[in-house]
Amino acid sequence: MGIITIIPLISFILYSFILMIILTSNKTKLSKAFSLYIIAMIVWSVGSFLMKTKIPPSSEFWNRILLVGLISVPVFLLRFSYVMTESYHKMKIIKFGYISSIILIISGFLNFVTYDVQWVNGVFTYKLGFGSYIMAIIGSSFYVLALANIIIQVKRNEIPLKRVRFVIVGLSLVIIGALLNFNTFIGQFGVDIVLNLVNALLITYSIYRNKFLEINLVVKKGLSFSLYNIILYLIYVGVVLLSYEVMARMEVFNLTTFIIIISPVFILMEPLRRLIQKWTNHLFYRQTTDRQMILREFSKLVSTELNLDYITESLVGAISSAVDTRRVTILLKNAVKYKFGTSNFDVNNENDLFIMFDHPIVSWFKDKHDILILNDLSTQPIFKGLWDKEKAVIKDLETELMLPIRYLDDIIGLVVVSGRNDETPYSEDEIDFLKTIINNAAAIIENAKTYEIVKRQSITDELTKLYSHRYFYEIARNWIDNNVFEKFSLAMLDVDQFKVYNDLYGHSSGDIALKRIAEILTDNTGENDVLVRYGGEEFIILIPNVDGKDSLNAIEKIRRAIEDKFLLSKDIKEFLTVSVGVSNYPAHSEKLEELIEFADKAMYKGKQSGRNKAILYTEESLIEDSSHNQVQKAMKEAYLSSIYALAATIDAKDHYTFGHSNNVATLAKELATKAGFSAKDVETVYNAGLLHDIGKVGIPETILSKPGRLTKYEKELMDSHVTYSINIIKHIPNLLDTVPAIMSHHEKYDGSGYPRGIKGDNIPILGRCICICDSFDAMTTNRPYKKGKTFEEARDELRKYSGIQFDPVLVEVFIELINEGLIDTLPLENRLTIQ
Amino acid sequence: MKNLKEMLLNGEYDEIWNTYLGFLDLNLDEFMEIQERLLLEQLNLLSKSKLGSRLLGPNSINSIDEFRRVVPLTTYDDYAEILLNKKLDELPSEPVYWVQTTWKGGKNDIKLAPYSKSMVDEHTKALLSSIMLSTSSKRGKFSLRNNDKFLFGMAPLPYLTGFAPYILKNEVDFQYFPSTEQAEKLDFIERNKVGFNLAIKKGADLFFGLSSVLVKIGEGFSDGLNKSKSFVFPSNPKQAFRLVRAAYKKKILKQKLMPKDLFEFKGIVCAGTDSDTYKEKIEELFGIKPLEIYGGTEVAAVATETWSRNGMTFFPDVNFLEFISEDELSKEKKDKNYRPQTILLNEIEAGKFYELVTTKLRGGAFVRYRVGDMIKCVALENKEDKITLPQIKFLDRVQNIIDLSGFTRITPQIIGDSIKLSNLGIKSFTACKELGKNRTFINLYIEDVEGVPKDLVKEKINTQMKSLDNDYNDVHTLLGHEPLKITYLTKGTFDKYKESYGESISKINPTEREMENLIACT
Repeated sequence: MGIITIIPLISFILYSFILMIILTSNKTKLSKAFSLYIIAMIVWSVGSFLMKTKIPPSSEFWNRILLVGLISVPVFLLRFSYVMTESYHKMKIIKFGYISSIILIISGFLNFVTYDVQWVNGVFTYKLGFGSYIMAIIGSSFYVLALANIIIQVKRNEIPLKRVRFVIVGLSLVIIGALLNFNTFIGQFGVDIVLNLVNALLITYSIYRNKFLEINLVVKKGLSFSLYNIILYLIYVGVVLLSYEVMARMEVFNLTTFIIIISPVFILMEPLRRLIQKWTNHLFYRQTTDRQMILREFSKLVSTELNLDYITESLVGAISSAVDTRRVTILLKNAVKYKFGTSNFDVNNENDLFIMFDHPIVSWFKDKHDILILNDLSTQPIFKGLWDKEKAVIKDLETELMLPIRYLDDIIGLVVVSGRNDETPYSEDEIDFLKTIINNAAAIIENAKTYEIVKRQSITDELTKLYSHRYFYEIARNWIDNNVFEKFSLAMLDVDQFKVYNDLYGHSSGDIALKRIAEILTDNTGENDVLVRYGGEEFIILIPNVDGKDSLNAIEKIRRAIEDKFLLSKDIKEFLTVSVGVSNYPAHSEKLEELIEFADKAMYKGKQSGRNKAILYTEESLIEDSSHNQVQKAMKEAYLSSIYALAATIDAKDHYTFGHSNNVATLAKELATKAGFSAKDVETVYNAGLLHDIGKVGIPETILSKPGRLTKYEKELMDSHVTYSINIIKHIPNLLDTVPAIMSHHEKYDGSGYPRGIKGDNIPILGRCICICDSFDAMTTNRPYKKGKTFEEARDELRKYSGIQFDPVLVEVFIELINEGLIDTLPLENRLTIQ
Repeated sequence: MKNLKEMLLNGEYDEIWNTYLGFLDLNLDEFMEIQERLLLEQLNLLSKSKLGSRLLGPNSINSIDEFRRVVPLTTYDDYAEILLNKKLDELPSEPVYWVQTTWKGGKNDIKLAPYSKSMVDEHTKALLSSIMLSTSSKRGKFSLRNNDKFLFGMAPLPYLTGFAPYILKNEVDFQYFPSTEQAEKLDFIERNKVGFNLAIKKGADLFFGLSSVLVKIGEGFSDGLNKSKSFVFPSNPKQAFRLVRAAYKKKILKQKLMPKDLFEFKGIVCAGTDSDTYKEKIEELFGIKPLEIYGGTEVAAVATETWSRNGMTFFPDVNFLEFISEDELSKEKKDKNYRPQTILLNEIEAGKFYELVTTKLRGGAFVRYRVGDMIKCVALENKEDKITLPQIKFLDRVQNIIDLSGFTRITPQIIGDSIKLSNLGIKSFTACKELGKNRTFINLYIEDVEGVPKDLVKEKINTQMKSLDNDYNDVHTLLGHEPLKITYLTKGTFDKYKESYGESISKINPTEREMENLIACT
């Protein structure tokens, strides 16, 4: 069997090999087109091989079979070229090709292409008919067209050169092969078959390289096994033949001697055998094996793990090494969003990478999709609603693929995978691997999340979600005992006037305020800062690596943020501020208890000096300073003077109720004293009496002094004076105590008052007190359109509305004051003659 | 993300279709969801800008309902101070382009509209969608390719269509005839001449421009071609074949040549008012039915026709869309203080007319903006193209102007001043737009001017209008079209009308009923 016969045989085997790869891969138009070309080549090579043997029926018959392949190859190659470049509009030429091929094949069987075909004594001879020239012209033209089509498309930038360069080389070789056939000497060697074979290999490589085809695992194993055995067989045969040759020269002809000498050679070749096996495995399914191993190792590693960080890091590591990706990011679901990092708990940071629950990507996964490919973001119209900011996050994450982490019906996280290091696309095998590993990780992640939540709950305050008092001591002691940080600051923060706030708006509003403050603290502190709800309305913040002024600046920023959100907000109800004291480790002390005490003292100092302050602890700053106290006193007096002036303004504005504020203050003071209120409350109720109508500066004078009934609109305007009052007073820290009383002096005991409609004991007691005095003064004051009632008449009215408008207990106390004649002794203005 | 050029290179035609035209698969609920999401993004951007706080008020707006309840409808007057002075620090996003248009009847001669990068990206996509659709015969199929030859029919910069070649460059390689660099240096007539010479040599695939301009270019080319005796050497066999065929038609058959004899366009996109009037002519000249895109300077691309060319579909991600019904418009007409209510896309009804109200998305400046366009909802779906979104037709500008050829806006002021300056003693008039075959006209109704021939009256008024309005002049010089028609009414017709109906007839675009009444008075 000479080379002339062997070439088609080898070609036939390799073509069959290629065809098997193609047929067992995913079916595409391209793979179908390529299969036809390969089948034609198989027919050609089979015919070529068999015509050079004595296999019946005859060499002439097998030559006709060869012609079937030879004639159809150019047509199918051109077809492949058109399919590859999607030049479907040129398929008319292919139809022409089919017709001409059929005519030529029939001509071939009728001896018009070749005749006198013979295989005699190992020599193959034939004569060319006129049809062979037509066949050569048509075939060559088709080869040229196939090549030209691809070159033109590349030139017109319609297809990248990178994608088709091997196809171009292959097609060029085919044309060369076809041209060489015109030389009958070279033609007998079947060079065109060899060059077609090279072309087929190049196209196969090109298709595989561009991932047009995905070879399935079973076939890969088969191919790998076959290739390994073929190579091994050829090497062994080579070694045997070579050894035989060498020993023959050495005149060793004894078979036993030969076997004894040659056997150790095979043992020495064992490393080579392993190398070949490794190489073939590497070529076909190395990554598959690696991935299976990674998957096993990952499962083993995290199966009993509860540390969320460790699990997610392991998952990231496993994915990165298995699919050779640049970056893997895991976004885990918390209460409000899918967020980068492993924490279950939300830390608001503008720069954080996160995906909200209403994100179209989440909807996409909820819609039962199990993967999102970057391309989907532009091709799926659902993503047209993406915000630019959301697109930026996807870009920042270098997203190429995204997969959900599903646990039961919930999506508990998202895995974002970037492009691969070698920029090639992910194969289906790799995507299947990702799905499997993520699926395996889901339950483990969910368990760890649950564990973290429980653990976190044990060390956090339920309301504010900040660390608890107990955990604070644990952390702070650790910082000090283990010298975790060289320096740190401890800030003690207390909410000013929180009691007033609670009295005024109730405890549930107070809780909401504390939650909001905790959020502000979270938003305005760093990742390493420790936030603690120390108790009630007290918070502690531990800030590592700062001291001196830096610590004060950090705290001042927080104080201002709270002031902005409450006191300076547009919502008039909000008046909360905080006073903060700061102490530093180790500058002030190395003992935790002392640090707390110093911060507490500094905070108290802030309270004393007018609240809403951040004070850094220094020994000097805490020394009682008489001049400071005098300044404070002067400030308070200045505040009061302004308030009195404002009160006078309102009284002057409403001429007929001149002195009303003074009267209410005087009466309220008397009532509070009689009712046994503390000295502080007596002072507060007096101030509240003076200020209770201060909001009337915002009411037009025409309404204030309008005789007769107010219209609905005017009444609404008039009633709004309460909120105006609060809006003015909330900016005067020393008078914040009066807010509850002022805010509630128009509330009625049965709940029919305004502005909040609260009733009974829910109405702050000082407010109930002002309410009685306000009504009593209004009843007994002379007005231009109505004379004031006598005290007795007023007393009857109070009794009549006791329990309806007025607090029944306080009414009785007030009536006692009237009955005892104490009211008569008070310096009230605009009275009727006392009877 | 890959751009169109890369996708075309890779032959990813299905992906291309989905990327640019996937929105045609949306149902109404999905469309509205996208609208809502992007409106919330826009509100978020606006709330951080001075312009936004002025328009939206002090409180944050978190829903469409709240947005429509709280934010007033706006006109260009509300933006003039900021936009004409290019006050960048007051805008919700940084503009990369300022697009210009005329502002007839406004405080200034021009209007400027800022385009952020994101807006430009969306507009580019929308424009490409239309170009792609113009080359499409059915869902999923289109023949647009890299290096397609694009005949330049666009306006110069800084007008909206003028931006097309510059913004499309980022997405795809087209060969412009002439090239953008060359086009910038040439005037309208020269540009067309150079463009067509190149197209004769190399062929042409795409064409885009205002409908009226496309007709003018086609006619001008046709005339030139029939008179020309010069020979152009084709650069490819296909074009050589067409030239031979054309020569045969001209020399042997002695037939008039048209652009379609020399070119085989893949697609033509037309825009502007009166597109309906010109489409037939464009098809006659260029051999294929153009595809209409509806848009404008302040609103960018709004809607596009699809392959059946039977109604336009809105782009979901360019503008937030609201509509004022005719009922609401008539309430407003009666009471200037009336604040018309809007409805959304999922509320419009087939066969009804609406004024469009848009909020520019992706960082645009215009909020609940009355662009001044009337549309008709022709159907709630396009069964032929299997699109389940409302189909619309762009009708015209709102009633206080007459738009000619898409770039000329005639106000009652211009007509009134021209009549006054003509010294013809004409006291009253009414003008309305008339659609002729392939042309639009202004029909000016005046009372008989005794002793002056009608042609002279027309010439005098026309001269004044041309001198007062450059765009009107361009209709003559650029398009070679004489749009003014004069209709005489008997003496005293306008007075009689006022006597009978208690008020004067509208000076511009009177209603059909008004016209009937006027004719009855003559």
